[in-house]
Amino acid sequence: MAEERLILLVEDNDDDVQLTLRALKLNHVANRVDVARDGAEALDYLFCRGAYADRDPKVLPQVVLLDLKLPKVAGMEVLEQIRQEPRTKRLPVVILTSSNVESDLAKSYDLGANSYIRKPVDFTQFMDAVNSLGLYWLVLNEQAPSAES
Amino acid sequence: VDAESQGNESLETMGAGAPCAPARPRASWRGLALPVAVFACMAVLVVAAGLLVYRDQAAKVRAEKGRELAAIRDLKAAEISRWMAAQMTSAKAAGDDPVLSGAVKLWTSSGAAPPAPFVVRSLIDTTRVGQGYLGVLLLDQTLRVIYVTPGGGPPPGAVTRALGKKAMDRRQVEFSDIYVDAQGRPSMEFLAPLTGGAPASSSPPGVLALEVDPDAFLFPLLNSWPAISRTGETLLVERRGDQVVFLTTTRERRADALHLAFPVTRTEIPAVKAARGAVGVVTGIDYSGTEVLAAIGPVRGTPWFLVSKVDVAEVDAPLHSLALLTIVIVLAVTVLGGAVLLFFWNSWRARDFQQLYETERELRASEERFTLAFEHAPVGISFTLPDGRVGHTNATLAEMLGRSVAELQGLTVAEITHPDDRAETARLMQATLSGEMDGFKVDKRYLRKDGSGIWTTASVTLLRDGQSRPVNFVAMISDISAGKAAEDALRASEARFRGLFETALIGFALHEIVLDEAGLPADYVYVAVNQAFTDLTGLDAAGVVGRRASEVFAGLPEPPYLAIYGETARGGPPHRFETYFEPLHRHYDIQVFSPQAGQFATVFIDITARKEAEDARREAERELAGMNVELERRVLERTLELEAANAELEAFSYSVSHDLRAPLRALDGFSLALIDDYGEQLDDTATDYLARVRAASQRMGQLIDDLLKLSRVSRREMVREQVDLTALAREVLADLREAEPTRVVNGHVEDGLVAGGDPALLRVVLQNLLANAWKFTSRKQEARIEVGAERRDGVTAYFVRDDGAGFDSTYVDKLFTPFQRLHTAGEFPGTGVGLATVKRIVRRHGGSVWAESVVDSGATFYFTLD
Repeated sequence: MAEERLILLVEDNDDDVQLTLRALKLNHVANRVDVARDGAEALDYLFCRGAYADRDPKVLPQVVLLDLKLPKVAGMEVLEQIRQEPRTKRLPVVILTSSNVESDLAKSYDLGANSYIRKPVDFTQFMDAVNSLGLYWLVLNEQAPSAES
Repeated sequence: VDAESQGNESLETMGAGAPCAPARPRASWRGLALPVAVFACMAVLVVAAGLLVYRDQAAKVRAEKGRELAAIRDLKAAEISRWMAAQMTSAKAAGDDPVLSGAVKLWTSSGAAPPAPFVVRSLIDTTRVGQGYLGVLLLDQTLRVIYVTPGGGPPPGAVTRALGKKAMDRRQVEFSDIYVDAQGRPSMEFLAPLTGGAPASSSPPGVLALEVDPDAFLFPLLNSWPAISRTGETLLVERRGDQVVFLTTTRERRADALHLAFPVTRTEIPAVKAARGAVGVVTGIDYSGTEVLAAIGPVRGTPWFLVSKVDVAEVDAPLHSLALLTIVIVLAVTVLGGAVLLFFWNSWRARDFQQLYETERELRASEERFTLAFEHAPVGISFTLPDGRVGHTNATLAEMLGRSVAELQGLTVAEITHPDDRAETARLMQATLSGEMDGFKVDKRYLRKDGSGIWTTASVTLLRDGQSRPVNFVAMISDISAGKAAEDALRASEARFRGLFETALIGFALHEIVLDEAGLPADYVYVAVNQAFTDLTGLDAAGVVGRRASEVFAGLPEPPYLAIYGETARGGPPHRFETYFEPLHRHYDIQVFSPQAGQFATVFIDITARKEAEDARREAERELAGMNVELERRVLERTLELEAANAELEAFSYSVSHDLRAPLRALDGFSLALIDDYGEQLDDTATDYLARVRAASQRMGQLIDDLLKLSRVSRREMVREQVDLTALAREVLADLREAEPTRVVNGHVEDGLVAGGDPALLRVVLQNLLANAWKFTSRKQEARIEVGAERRDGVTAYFVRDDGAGFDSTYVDKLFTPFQRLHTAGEFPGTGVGLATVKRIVRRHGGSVWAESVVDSGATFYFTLD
């Protein structure tokens, strides 16, 4: 495969960014991880506008790891906009958050999240979760069919 | 027209009833043939028209109801199709979750040893909660169940396995028919292969069996009826072999879902017609033997057929009133037509009787006038025979004497006369009979039936015949009892007044006004006072009579109430006023009037007691009103404070759950990174320190989670229903067993434990108590945990008993306080929040919780619920 397989991580907490990157690395996931620090940046990235205006719109990440509590544009809203845009509406989105409030979980699924993972304090459990994500998306799976096809 | 026909009817009656009517009109009956024929034709036409209108309306009503049923059928069929499509989409989404598929593949490739990995459990549990499935089973490629939630259900049946296989082979969602599950409930399953959303490159690692409860949406949808109808019902049926099976519970539960079936040959049943593929509106006999109107048709995207039906009796109900109306109109038109015909016929015939009728009418009118005058005279009238026996009397007299006219007949005058007046009456009657006078007028008392007397004025005249022989006394009697009673009342009132005045409780004083040079009132002199004056004022008659007011009340700047008294004494109007008279410290109600110019009289009573009571009451009311306002203000203030505090707490706990955990993750994660990446540069002590940092952060994470749970328990809205504690305890124990399958624990849960309370909160109670029992028995090779109930002081106390480490009962008070622990975290892990949570929940249910224990002999935790 010539095409590079990307992961978009939307996370404002630098500690969590570092830990997620480390978890991916320890799971032998060598893919490039682009990090968006808030909801607005994530949307700019995906819709190729603003600071990302010259990004190739054909290149979509394999998966978006999305935090819920984000500056500027909240995670729920980012998810909603991804699902409204035809080009990204089938993009796999995994909610990765501290919240275990039941309404957050229900709302994420209502808005079309593919998975909902609660970030545990214990890093080994976190590794377990990231492990499943990495293995699937980047090793086993074929590219999901794009919406136009 | 009414008046005319009325007039003719009475004329007809008179003609037929008069015995002296001439025999001539006999021939005219032949003339009746024509009007009768015309009338018959008209009646036939009217009835036929009525029938036509009724039939037309009946057809319209049926057609209208048919359209309504078809609309309901289409609406429900579309809703069911949408529901199916939504269920298929949800199931597909669950199977398409790439994370779940990946995790299952990874797990099954390593033999799928329990327990299931964190990710698999969390994803399947959240799918179940998020989509509201009754239960979810995860089957691997060999159709073995490797995970099930909630635990404790029966193993999957052959149908589930067969469909699971089919779903995996075809890589698409399959669904089972509605069937009766092991618990006897209707149930339905969707089998979603774990394709992970990818095309057919590899076989799915397993399949999800998602159990849907038709009672949750499908059946309620069918049972709801958009219009008000007594018998309206929607049925879902399906053809299974040569049977047509009813999938839904029928109205009023005459048959449960899937318990009703008919052979396909019974085509008179609309449901059977539907299952044979017919579409449209039909009439037939339904399952209960009732004639029904039904709209039938298939449900797209399912093997099912819909029947919307309503009893023909209900459809035809409005026709009853229509039929009645039609009959009334037909009758009315017929009768009216007949009456008009009769009128014309009669007016021709009546000419012959005119003469006779006029004479008869005159006679009758005269008689009627007399009867009317006699009966309605405002005075009583009686005809009495010379021997004193009463003959005819009118109703007025009868009413006066409290008897009926019939009763009076035959009584003697003496019998209806008051005993005191009998002699006088007899004398007067005798004198009249002997010819001394023609009659007499007398005030006398008659005797009423109840024995009381009634005062009357009676005018009596004796009628004599041509030979001057007495025939009848005629008496005109008027009731003067009202006038007599008024006289009596006046006499009694005078007597009472005199008595009252003599022993008066009312103060009375007569005064003479004293004028100054300018002719203005300056003072007044007491002329006379009564005993009550002295009683009410404390002023002795001898001390005031003949003296001036200015002397009597020398301390005042001017004589009391001089302005008012002066005005009345000099020809002004009488006055009445209530006043507080300071010198005597009394309240008075005073009336003043002027018996003659220059004088005035005061009549007064002491109202001090009443005034004081009134003042006290007003004061009390004012105080109470003040207190109420204050109370309401405080309640409002407290409510607002509470609402604000709740909102703040909500925001605070949300923030805690998000933000407080993030730094802990960093602590734990980076400590681990240090150990992993720089392990060889650290000595054992450094590694130990880092392990401690990790343990501490994880412990704090746990603490935060427990605290949030505790606060949620307090804020949650409570619902109250009957909760099956036995089932709940068994589920919790199964979960514990699954988490630690290597432990040997004998769990015993008493059967039939039922309690009223909030099911979610009671689950938390049992989770905490059982988890504690599980934890504190962990040192034992073989442990025993018991759940049961016993009566304590007349209340049911539920208990959870273990044979574990127990605790020193000296410190039992500390158990239920947050963060208080009787063991170190090294001995047994924990945050010390669990029992505090239990206590809070039990308190909210109005119950109490306590514990009994001996060290090393186990512990028993009791709780009661209100």
